[in-house]
Amino acid sequence: MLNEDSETIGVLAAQILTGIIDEQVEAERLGKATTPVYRPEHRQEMTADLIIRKSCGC
Amino acid sequence: MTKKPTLRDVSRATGLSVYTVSRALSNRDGVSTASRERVLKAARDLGYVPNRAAQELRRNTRSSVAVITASTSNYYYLDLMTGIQRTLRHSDRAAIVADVAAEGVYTRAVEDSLVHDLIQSRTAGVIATLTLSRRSIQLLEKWDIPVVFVDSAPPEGADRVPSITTDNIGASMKVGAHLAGHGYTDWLFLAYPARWSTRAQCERGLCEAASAYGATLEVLESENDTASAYGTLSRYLDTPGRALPRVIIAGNNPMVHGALRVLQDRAVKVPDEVAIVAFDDSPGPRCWTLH
Repeated sequence: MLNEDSETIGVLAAQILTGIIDEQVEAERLGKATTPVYRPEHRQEMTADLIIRKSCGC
Repeated sequence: MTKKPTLRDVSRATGLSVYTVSRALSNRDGVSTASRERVLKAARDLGYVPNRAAQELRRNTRSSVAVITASTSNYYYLDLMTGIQRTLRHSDRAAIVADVAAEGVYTRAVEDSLVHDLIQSRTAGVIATLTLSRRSIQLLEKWDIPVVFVDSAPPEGADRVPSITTDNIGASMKVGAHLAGHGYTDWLFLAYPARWSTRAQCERGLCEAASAYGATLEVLESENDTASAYGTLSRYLDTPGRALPRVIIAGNNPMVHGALRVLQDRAVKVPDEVAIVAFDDSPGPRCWTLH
């Protein structure tokens, strides 16, 4: 199996999204535009681990 | 039908004003600990549930995030949701899941309808597990709804939209090296449709690996669910003159389950006769052991 560690991917995605939303909330409070601000560090690539499993035959 | 309890009912039960009850339920300041506890107890006893949508309209708190999946039967999404929920909890936000390919088949009409629904409900943000159309991205942008892609690339022309992707070419090379180490050179890639952007990277990586290790690679496309994978692989193997491949590489968890069922029905021993590889992590059957 190729372990893509989707739980960590979920954590990272939610951290990025909540960061952007929090900035929108703050911008709104200050009466500024609420357009989402995307940054280069918001784009990330993860590696996958190869996990070897063996059937016991049952 | 029984009348649903209202904010006014909680106010009456506690003897506090509607204003105070509202502030207590939304965890805002200006309410004593004793009053807050009284309100929470009364709300529990009455079965009162605050109307979050109405609260958000008044306060614009942006507390609801949508996760767009494509076939939630994939175990990958359960772990993904665990990570998302754990993180959102810290910011007092909640996630809703919307599947645009519940039966493994994607349609543009379902995506369009879903995106409209998310805008109408003023979703704070979107985590998308498949590439949305450029039109959907433009609509969400117009309404200032941020999007983060996971396990999928943003559509062409939306390169600055956030994304968390996996290096599937590197992963495919790892698979190729492992299979070559066993001397397996006859590979069948049971792939989901190219609508899922990761398919292209996986296929490209496997092609490069096959070339690097002197293996042959055949690509067999199926719809993106267990039953389709089962049917597609069965028909493939039933073709006269077709031999079993030495290795089946499944595109994801639902597809590996379909492939395993086909092999089980035909009493084919795994991995003695056919080795199985799958993209996506999975807990796997209990009778499998980790080396």
